[in-house]
Amino acid sequence: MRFSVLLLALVLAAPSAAAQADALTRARQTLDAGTASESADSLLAARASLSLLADGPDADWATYYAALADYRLAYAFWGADAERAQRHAAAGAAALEALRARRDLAAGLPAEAAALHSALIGAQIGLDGARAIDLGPASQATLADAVRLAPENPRVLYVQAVSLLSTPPEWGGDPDAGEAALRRAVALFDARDAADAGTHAPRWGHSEAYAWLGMAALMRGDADAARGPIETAEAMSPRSAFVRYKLRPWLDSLTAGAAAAQ
Amino acid sequence: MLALVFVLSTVLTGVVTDGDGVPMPYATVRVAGTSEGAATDGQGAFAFRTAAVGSAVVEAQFLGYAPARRRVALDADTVRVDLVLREALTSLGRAVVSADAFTSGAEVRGLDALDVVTTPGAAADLFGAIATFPGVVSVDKGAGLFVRGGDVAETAVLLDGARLLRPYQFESPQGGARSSVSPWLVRGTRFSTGAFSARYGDALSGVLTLDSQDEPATPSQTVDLGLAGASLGADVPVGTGGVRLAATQTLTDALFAVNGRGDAFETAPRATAGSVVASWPVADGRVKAVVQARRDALAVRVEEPSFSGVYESAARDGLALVEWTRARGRWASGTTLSVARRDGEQTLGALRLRPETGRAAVRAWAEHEASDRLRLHVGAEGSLRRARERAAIPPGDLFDPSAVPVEIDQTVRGRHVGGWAEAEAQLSRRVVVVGGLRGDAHSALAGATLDPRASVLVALDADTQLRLAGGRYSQAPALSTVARWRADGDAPREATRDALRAQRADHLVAGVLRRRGRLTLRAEAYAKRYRALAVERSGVVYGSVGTGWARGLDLFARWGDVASDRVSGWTSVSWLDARRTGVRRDASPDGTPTTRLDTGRPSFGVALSADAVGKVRVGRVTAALRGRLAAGRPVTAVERAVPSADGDFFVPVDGPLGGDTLAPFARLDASLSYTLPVARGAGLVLYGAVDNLLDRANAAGYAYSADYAERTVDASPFRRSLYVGATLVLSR
Repeated sequence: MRFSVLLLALVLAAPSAAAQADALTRARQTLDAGTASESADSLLAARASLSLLADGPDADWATYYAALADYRLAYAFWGADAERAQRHAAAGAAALEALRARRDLAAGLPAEAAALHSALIGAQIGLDGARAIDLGPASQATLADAVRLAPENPRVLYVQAVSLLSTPPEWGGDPDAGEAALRRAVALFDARDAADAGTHAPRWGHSEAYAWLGMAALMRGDADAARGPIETAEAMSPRSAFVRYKLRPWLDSLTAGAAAAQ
Repeated sequence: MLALVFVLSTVLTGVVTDGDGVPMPYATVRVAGTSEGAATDGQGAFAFRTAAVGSAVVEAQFLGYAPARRRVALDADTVRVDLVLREALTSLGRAVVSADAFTSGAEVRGLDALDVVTTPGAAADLFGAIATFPGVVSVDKGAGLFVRGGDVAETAVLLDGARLLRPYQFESPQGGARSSVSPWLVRGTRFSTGAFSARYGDALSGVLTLDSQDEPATPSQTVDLGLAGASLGADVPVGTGGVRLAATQTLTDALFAVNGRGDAFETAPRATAGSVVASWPVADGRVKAVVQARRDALAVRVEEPSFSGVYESAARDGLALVEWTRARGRWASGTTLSVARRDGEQTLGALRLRPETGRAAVRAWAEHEASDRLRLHVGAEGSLRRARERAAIPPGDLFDPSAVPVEIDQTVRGRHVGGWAEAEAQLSRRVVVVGGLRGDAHSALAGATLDPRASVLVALDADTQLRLAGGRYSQAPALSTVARWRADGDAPREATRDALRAQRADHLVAGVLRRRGRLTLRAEAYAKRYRALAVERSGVVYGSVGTGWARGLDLFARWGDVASDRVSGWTSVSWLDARRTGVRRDASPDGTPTTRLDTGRPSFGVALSADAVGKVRVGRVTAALRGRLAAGRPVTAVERAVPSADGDFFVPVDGPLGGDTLAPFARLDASLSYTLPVARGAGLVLYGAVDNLLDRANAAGYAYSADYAERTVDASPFRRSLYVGATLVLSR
């Protein structure tokens, strides 16, 4: 009994590095579950847990994943509550900006943080187009940082590709280059995900890269090229609203149109 | 030891709710200053153990809400602490005024730099773009903000809380050709055309508040080269803050030469300007410093029946300000310290004006969210001002070649103190009421002013708001006017008073606003009554003898946004009926020039005007078109002339003030820009604009023969003109 109390005290009163690591892992699992189920509640719960870990031994990674939760929440609230979505995008971007200002980050984190930072700035612009004026250069520069630090990181390539595909050509967008970056990203994701298993390194972006690869093909009207990546994305993230409600209907409509034309 | 800690530790439990008592899931709760804490569950409940002893501050946080803190005594094994989170006064690090019922009027929050530079006919000028909104009278060129029948001096322009002594470049009676603030310096604008908040004083008609850019996130450099000059800009992040530098050299010789009007000016307008904005985040807020300086000059030939000469204008001004804003919990506050100086010289024939003005000012405010339904705002401002008026003013008619100028060298010092208090109460889910009181005292004027203001906002449905606002507005005559008044003891004072007083206007505004999707619709009716206007003409001050009124209707529709929509634009229609006291030129039977006061339509009282701006993005090209239609400008025609006593010239006698109306005004402007990505992080923007695309000769005024027997219509000098340029942007 006495031993049990002591053990409990160890866990509750003085959280160890191992306990913190477990907590980080659990919070990441909640975040992954929230992402897969597109549940705002799970994402908020993950964000809260990660925020509490921001003073612990894995503070840098906890900050990164809290910002990733903000990124997911920005998209979760996108259509229903744009102001709340903007708050999350801005909070995540601010947290990563502060994190990136430090020089003692763990290996791999600077590039990952820069890529996610750029994506969060892009979300702010997507939610309020007028902010392209003040945030556009910051988004580009942050992305350039990520590319300089880790040109072969699949998430860097994915964020770069989304930027190239969603930016109007007159502001520097390039759909062809974006699609090429996505092809490279999906090729790298498989190997990278396996290598990063069991570490703090992020593993998000894989199914999204497939989805955007399908989107790139749909944008140029190629249903055949879009089908494979979209089906892969569906298999990896069956509840993805982006795939279910945007890409799948678009693909079906394009396919039906092509059939009717024949 | 650890066991001892455990035994001595306390379990903190509780529930986090919002202001309405609704549980807040997924909020974080900690013991302040420690890593001990937990997230609330789906019912807003939390429980965690703390090793703190005695007492502890427990803090709850949730994004978008102000942190809630409570100190609790840890005097039991389990201590319950419930916390209430309230929506933050600040959002995204910026002060946000919620449900501000005083935003009635042509409030143009959202007008950003891209809107400005892509608006045809605005010449990339902030005021030029604002003039496309309803309630601002704008015919032909000029950046003057003539708001709802008010003179250009009746609109206050504030940058980061500091009032600009000189909002315009190349000043003229029409206000000026351009604003003195670059659109790229500005993060946001708010423009109210009537019945504005008690927070703003010393303005009879409108308030334009400009917020400068915060610290840059990334380094970048900008080079712009166009027909009218060149500019350089650099954004330099420094630590957590940063600096924005800008320098502009305006030389319009090439612009006028290319457009075949090289002879339009004796000295083409030229200006040199520089600015530095330094901004640093500090605990709970931000400190910002702005320094800007500029000088400009022009000279243009003036031909009148009795006069031929050159009007020359040169001016210098400088502004330095420091602003400190904070937001913590339910409190927000701001303080601005500023010093500004300007001097210049204007000459025309025997008239010579050499005004010098200086001002040191402080403005401080605090805002407290007393409850979910009540917000309180208080503030105070004060300034020390000095105006030296050196002038040579010909009495009577400015163009009287025989006039012997009256020499003036008068210095006036003045102090202004003002304060305000305002309460905003949400009476129900649909009704917000704001009441405010403002007091001002100017040492150079007799008496103080007390201005009550109120506003009611009713939400008819989720998209539609009804607004009703009104109040009293006071404005001191310019210190230079006071100087001239004191110096000019012999001037005609038909309604002589012992001293100048604060000018006064009473506003009443009723409007409806509907926002749905990307479409905004607004309609607003207003009435305004003037009292104690300081009447002045050609440097002669007639005293606080002016009265007047204005009433009208403004309609506005805006759709889309140029940054995010392929098609965007806005259109505005304004109807205005205004009268005010002015000065009519007259002549005694022996041919001596005299004047008399009368009431009539002011030259800026254009009865009906419509403005439409459309922008289309196709690929890398953005094309924009702007069309303007307006009823003619009121003019005071010369109805007869009397030979002067010595028979050398004719003395004009004016007809009713604003008794004539010029021909209707119409103009079409177009602009085109092409964006070329040069490399990653670098872009080149090529742009061009054609003003007055159809080369229409709009009427600008009347010209007369030497004896005033023949009258012709003067055409506007602003015919079709081309402007081209390129901007290179480099970011890291």
